[in-house]
Amino acid sequence: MNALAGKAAGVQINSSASGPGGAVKVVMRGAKSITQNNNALYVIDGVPMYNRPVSGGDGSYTTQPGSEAIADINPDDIESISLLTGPSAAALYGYEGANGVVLVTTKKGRAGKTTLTYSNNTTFSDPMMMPKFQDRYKSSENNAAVWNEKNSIPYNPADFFNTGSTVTNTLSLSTGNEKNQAYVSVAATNADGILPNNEYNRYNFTFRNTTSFLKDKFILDVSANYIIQNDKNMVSQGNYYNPLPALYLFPRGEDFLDASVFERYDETREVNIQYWPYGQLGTDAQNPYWIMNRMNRENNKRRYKIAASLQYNITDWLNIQGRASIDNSDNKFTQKNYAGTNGNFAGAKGRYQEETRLERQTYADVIANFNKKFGDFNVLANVGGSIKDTRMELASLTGDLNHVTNLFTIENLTRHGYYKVNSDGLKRQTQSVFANVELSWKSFLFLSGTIRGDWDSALAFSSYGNKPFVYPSVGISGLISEIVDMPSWFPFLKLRFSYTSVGNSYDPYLTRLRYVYDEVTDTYKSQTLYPNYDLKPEKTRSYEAGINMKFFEGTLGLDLTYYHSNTFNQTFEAPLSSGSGYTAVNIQAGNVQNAGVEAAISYDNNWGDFGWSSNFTVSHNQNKIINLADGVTNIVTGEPIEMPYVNKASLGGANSPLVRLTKGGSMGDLYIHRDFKRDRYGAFELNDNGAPSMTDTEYRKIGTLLPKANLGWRNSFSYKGVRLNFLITARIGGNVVSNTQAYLDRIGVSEYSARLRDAGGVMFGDTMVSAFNYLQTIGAGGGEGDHYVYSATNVRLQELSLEYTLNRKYLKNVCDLTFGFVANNLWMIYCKAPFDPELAPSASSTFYTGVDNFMQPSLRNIGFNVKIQF
Amino acid sequence: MRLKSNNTIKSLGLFAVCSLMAVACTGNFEDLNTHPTDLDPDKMTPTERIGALFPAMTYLLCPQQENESQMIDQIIFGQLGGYFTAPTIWDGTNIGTYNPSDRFMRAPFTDILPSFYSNYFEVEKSTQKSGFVYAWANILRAGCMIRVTDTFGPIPYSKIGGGQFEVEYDALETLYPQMINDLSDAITALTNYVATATDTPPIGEYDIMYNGDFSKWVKYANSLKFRMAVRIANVLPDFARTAMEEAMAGGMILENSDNAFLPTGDNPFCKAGIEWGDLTVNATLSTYMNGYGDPRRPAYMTRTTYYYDYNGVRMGIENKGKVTTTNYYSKPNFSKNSPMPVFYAAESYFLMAEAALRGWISGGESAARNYYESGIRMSMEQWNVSIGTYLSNTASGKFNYTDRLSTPASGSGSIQNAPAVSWNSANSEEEHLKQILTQKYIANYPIGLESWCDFRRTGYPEMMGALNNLSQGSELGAITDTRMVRRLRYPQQEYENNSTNVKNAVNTHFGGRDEGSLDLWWAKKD
Repeated sequence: MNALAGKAAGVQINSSASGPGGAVKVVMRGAKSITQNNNALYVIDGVPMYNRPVSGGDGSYTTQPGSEAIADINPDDIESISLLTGPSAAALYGYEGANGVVLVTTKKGRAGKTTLTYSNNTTFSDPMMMPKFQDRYKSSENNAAVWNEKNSIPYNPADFFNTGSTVTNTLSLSTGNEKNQAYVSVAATNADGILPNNEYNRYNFTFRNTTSFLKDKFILDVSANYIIQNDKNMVSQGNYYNPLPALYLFPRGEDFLDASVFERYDETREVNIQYWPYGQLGTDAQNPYWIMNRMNRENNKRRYKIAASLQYNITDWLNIQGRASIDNSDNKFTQKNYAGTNGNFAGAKGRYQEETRLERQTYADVIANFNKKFGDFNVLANVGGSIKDTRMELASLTGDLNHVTNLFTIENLTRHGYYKVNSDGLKRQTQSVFANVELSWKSFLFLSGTIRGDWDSALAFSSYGNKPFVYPSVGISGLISEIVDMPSWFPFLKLRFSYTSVGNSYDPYLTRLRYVYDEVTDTYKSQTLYPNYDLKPEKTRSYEAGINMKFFEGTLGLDLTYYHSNTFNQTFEAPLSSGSGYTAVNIQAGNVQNAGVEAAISYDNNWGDFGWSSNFTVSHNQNKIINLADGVTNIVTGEPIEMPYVNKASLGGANSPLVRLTKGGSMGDLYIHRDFKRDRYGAFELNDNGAPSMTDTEYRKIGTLLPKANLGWRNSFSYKGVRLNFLITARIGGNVVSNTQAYLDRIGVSEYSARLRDAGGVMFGDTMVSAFNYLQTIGAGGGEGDHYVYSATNVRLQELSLEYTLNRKYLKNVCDLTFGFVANNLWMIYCKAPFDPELAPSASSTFYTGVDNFMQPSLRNIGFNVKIQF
Repeated sequence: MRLKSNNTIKSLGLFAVCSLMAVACTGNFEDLNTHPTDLDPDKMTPTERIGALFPAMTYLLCPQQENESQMIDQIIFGQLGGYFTAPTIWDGTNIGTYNPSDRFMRAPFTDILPSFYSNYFEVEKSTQKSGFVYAWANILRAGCMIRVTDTFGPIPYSKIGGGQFEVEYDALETLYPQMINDLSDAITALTNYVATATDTPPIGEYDIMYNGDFSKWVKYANSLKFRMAVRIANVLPDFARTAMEEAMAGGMILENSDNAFLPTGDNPFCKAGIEWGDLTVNATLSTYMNGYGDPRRPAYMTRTTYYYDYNGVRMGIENKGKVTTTNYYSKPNFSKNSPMPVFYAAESYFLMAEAALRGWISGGESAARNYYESGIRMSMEQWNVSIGTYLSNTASGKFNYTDRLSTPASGSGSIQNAPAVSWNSANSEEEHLKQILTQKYIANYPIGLESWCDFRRTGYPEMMGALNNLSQGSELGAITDTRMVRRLRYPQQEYENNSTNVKNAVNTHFGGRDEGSLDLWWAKKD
């Protein structure tokens, strides 16, 4: 999905820092929900896909990140992708479509033509942006004296990385006649990350067949996908299961070559154990090679997707289509921590985790389509119903090894000591009925209306009960250029307006008291959520107005859209005082507004053999929290709730910036509450060691995580068989936070720390404070106050590609041959932050994007592809 | 694979029916929206529904959960009570260096209160607030709540449970008597039940402390009541006297076989000490025990491998980092299966010794001596060590502690004025009090809250405070080396979600300063 970045207006795409196969965050027209997922919905050939990304979590104590369901699709099987950014998509795909929809259409066989295609895609990756390190001074976590010693052992952490590679080979066959078309493909993707022993492999088997029969009254479309996917040692960010903290913070003055012999024989234990005599480095550091080779995290997935659709053409203006699909996957995750791993993660003989997750999704719908002309009017209508059933089962065993060292089986797990069992599950069903009418008059005035009702099992037991929630939409558009005589340079003008209301459910299992299992103590306990089951469906209301124009024989186009949406009645956990006896309560309140403008200018022209097309998009979204829960009534006491703000996420340590939602603020407001301590005359207070100290202040807003605007400029030049494309993307405004830089400074391995040492320190009033004292203060706990907040504005050459197609007439009519050179994320033209601001630690997080806590660096990808079409 | 296809067929069939009827089939929605693996209380037997909540509530007396234990009983009570040193400095902060951040102070409040009450409210509902099960829950309530109030001061108590999001705090002057009265009511109810009960009730299966022997719960409750009465005896002597008499009459934990322990297969003190390197023995403890040549040393702590001795780490030693080996320093000697202590018989005797000495119960100095020596004997028996000549041990005065490592800056120090073990009737009451509380401290290992409270209440036992006192400018405010930390600051969360009430409490009881140097009501020496 990374490939979509910068190509459409109103879409913000963040790739996650997990390397090949990592999940991608796609948010359209701004985050709407305070608590739920804000990612767009993927719809594959009309069927919504359960795309739960496996996130390692946010913050420092994270585990293994995973891939996501959409990443399983072989890109070569995709015919086209289109984006529905507005909530009108919800009328077709239900409440999950309210965040926008990525519509994926896969390839079918073609009638009358048989093609066999082989393609190879090979990409090499290396880090595009690394923190700036130093190796001219020695470093120490706690010894000021060491900071001023010169270091003579050169050290460059980047040497640890390999050149990553991703190789995809696809063989596909498309064939068919008028009655039957078939498409078959086989693909293998093998990727090695830039981190040693990190890999991702995927094998796709795809089959699709389309048949029409009984005098073409019936069309049967059947498809099947089988996917084998495995990955090993994916790393996103955080202090654990990540070699980067130890790699970056490795004490300058020591020789990293010693550390590369990462395991050494221990006479008493009679096994190889970890070699790491360099201390904790403030992060529970372990040998980076050990983390990648002796704490192995592996994921194995088998997924199959089978879909069938049958269309019955009753007359030429009426047909009925039924569709059914199942999408099941079985995942097994294992983690093998060898003896010698830090005691937090393994006992004396090692630790093993085995987790099985089964996902099952069934979808079916029946739709009647009506399309008929009545004089100047045309009526296009459909009515239908659908059912979606999602299940997940998870079972996991974790424990220290008991009998035999480094034998990773569940029988070898201890039953005493570190031994945890965990199970989880999900069952959810949504049933819907919907109707859609589009009236057009003389093909220049279009009126449309939709209505949809959803029954969702998550609402069961609530005071709302099993009633459906119903939501309508209306739209009008007119081709002005068809009624008004337009000047010849302005041949096309279309105006459109629509209003949509979308109902939304909340997470399952909120409506009833349950006892939850505590895997550590092997006890059950009541949830600590205040019992509030008076919950109603959520609501988004939005309208959008747009204008599409074409000039100069259609070569120049301009599209403008204004949209405005309000999401009401959101369900969120409001933290409670412990004195209430609970930790939080689910309340429904809030009004989050997103308003924005999207513009696209396109130009497309040919001069003989030379062609140029250019597309410039710009989008601006204004996010505003109109209300949190102020004024909502406490169901028990009847008193109004006061909630002027909610703290959502602390971006680093307790004294780092945090995201605070306030009435009148936005979903990304950054607040800080620390500053240098001053005496009552305003002079800096230094302690006995001559170090400044930080103190609490009132919370104050210093920025936002949200961008002001996103821009993309795509150009394509063609000359005969050669095509050159480039894409420049930019993000303007907003901030990011780097915990990494704070660590690097505090331990004294950053270039900045060396420069301060060169300068002798930092002036505080008229006192010189040493680099050590200064950086230990501001860099504490992931960075204090606003010291590690950066502008997120960046401009980059996102894509550069050169394609050359050799027509088959030059190859004795045997085949078409296409060569391509593709470079991605090639050049950061402008960026003031110490890391790539568009990189996200995980795809599912709303409030934790733009925070670097030892994220894997963003990758520059350069590769080539070859396609031979027989 | 049959299951899957069945599901599919079922869904498709369902769908066909639904579309025919043009309405949804929501009949199974209740079933779908019932969590597949969590418990639905309505689907459990009445006994299970109530009983299942008791282990979680009981564990709050001494959490088995590794992080809870670390955040409450190790870092806070363990260090301030003089048993442990957490050598790791997290983000530059630690209770040991007197500069903890909110994250390292809040757990007793933010963990214990909601974890206890969310379960307790369900017990209240199911028992209609009567009967022995309700009494059992109320004994736990007292045991858990002193862990909160003794840390911070006033806490929400009497107004809790009315459905309010923001609950008023109770002043200690009324909170402590009310907690003791509520505990007395529970003791009466449970005593009555025990007098008539013939068999272990089915719910006894969920009693992880005494396996359903509720007569032992009565003993625990009375000992707890005595403990609480001693806490406030300086400030409410008459009330405390009555409570002590009632507790003794009702029967306390006086035999080691009645000791209150919680079972575990993954002891968190062992985990933090041995596996994580986050926990060592406090130099104060090893220094006293070395000074007395205490036979309990090998039971309490590991021998160092380089010097083959018992040597703790000074609390508040900056820049030490984790102690992952036992080369120079002793670790707490717990194994994975060591049960976690809640109340020892020895403590009952030391409590009575102090009470007799101070005249709160009858018997005077000679009774005090008896109780004192019984307390020591009881402790030796409990740890299964021979007492030898310990009771006549006269070692006293300055006990030195030597840190074997000089980097970072050596933490050597000393206990200035250790009292002898042997009881000399000619000594002053103050000297006797010091003896009792010093031996109580050694015997009560590792129940840190008690020695921290005793120190704040009486000034004993003498402890080596923070080696590096970094309190200047910290969230606790300035802490002096001699008085040490007297209370913790209320959690930031309270200022955000219950600001009116927390500010009222701080204004009324601490003159508007939510700081660590201020005394709780009962801690002011008379």
